[in-house]
Amino acid sequence: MHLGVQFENSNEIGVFSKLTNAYCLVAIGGSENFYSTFEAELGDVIPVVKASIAGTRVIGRMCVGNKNGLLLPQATTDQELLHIRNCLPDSVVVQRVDERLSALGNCIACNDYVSLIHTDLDRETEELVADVLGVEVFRQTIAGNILVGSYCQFTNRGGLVHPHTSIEDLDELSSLLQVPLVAGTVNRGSEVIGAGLVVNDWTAFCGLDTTATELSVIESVFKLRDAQPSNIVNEMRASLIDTMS
Amino acid sequence: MAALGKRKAEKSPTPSSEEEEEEAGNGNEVTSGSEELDSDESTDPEDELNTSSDSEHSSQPSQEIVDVDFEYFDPKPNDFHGIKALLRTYLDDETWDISGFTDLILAQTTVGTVVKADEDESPIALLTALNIGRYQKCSCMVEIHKYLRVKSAHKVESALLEDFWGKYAREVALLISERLVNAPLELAPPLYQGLFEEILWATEDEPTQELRESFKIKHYLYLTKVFEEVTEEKSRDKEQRKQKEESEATGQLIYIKPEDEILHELSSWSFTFPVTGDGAAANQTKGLQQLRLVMAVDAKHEEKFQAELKKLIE
Repeated sequence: MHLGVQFENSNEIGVFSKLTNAYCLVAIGGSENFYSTFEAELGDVIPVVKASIAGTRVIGRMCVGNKNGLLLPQATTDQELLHIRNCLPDSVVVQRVDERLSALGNCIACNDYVSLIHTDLDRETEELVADVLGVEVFRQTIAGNILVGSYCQFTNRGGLVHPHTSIEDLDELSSLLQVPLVAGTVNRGSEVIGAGLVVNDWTAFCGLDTTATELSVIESVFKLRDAQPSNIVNEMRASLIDTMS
Repeated sequence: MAALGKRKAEKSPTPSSEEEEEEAGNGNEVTSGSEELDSDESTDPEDELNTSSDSEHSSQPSQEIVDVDFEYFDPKPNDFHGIKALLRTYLDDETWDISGFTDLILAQTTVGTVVKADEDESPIALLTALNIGRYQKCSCMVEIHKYLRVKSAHKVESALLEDFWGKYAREVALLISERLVNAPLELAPPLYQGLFEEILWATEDEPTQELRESFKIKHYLYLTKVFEEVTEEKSRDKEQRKQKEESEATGQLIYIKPEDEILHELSSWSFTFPVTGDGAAANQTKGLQQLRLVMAVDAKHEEKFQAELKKLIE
């Protein structure tokens, strides 16, 4: 199930929202349309929370999270942190991270089991990612870009990466992440996948400019066609990743 | 359109310009026209750069002169994102179908020009004209009409505007001219020359009679951005020692694109309205208020406009 959305005329919805299997964060915007689209689609399954981070609306790029936890930059105010913590399910650990590279959403990409991080991220942050998000952490680049969070988006079922990723890189990443990956674009040729698309195991939202071809690629790689939230909740999946030493 | 080189004596044919010459048919005429302008422009950019940097950093040993060549192209599908970015503030912060509007501009290959530093770069400037009667039913045009109708309510010009969208729709074209804030003034004359020529050729070259008629334009409707000078007066309330700030508009308009002033002088009617939303706040400079200016220009002033524009540059 996919939906085309716009945030105040911008198609970069991944900048203004964060979607996981357990919750959804949405920026406070001019019109209610953005929030109501998410609310209508997800409202009865997971909480949809309006939030700001460090007083900004670019929450999708500032934070990173999955069903286990949510990491916020140091600049997040106490009020914002409290609000988010209150609204999210108790099982989700919300933590502030003191990291020089504060746009965590650009530096870290993750699903519920694995994550890719920016090559220059601190060791402490890497450990926090592993602890709070409960994931295996890999330092990687995507098509030569160190901002892994910006140029790929992956869930427990599949992933979409920067269009210029080579076949060898695709295979390597796919074996690391243990999900099928495809190189493609979103929002009519935009390479910044993280900004144009938010996705979880049963729904995807992308900018209105996304073409039908791009949409069909997204539907097929993320296996959205016959996805239901109950399938995910009832499934238990063992981690299949060997440690790379 | 052919390439316009600032410092090139000879013209190296690029693949794009050859294609466009075939499409335009009369491309050779355009080439010779733009070559004449070369000598005028060759000294201006460097002068601009030298004077600005000299006055501030006269102690610095060397100034870097940046040579920029601007080339004129027909809008292509690749330019979608660039053109959309230029049109982002066209209706301030209204939510409307900008993508659809951009698609309309891209689809009209016969009339419309985009200025880029290089073929693969993003557009720096856009100039095109869309016949209102022809595109009236498109959702983006409906939204533009609604926006202008709302903004012109309670004004004298409201009825005139409605006529442009009503009975005169087939003779009116929406003039769309957007460019990056610091784009040089010298880009304007070839842009407008190209536009008027393309419209003229379209009246002859278009395949159907209906399309040919749609380019016989009698009026241009133009929406642009201007600033207005605002004086602030502070007066003290003696009893409570409060400071009151009162601002008064002086009515003095400052045009962001210099050719807008000429168009405004030649216009049949015009009105202004204040800008709403975040864009306005961001651009707030002390003493200046941002406005939108809507004007109607009669097509028979084309030549006078081009002559005035040329004088402005020299």
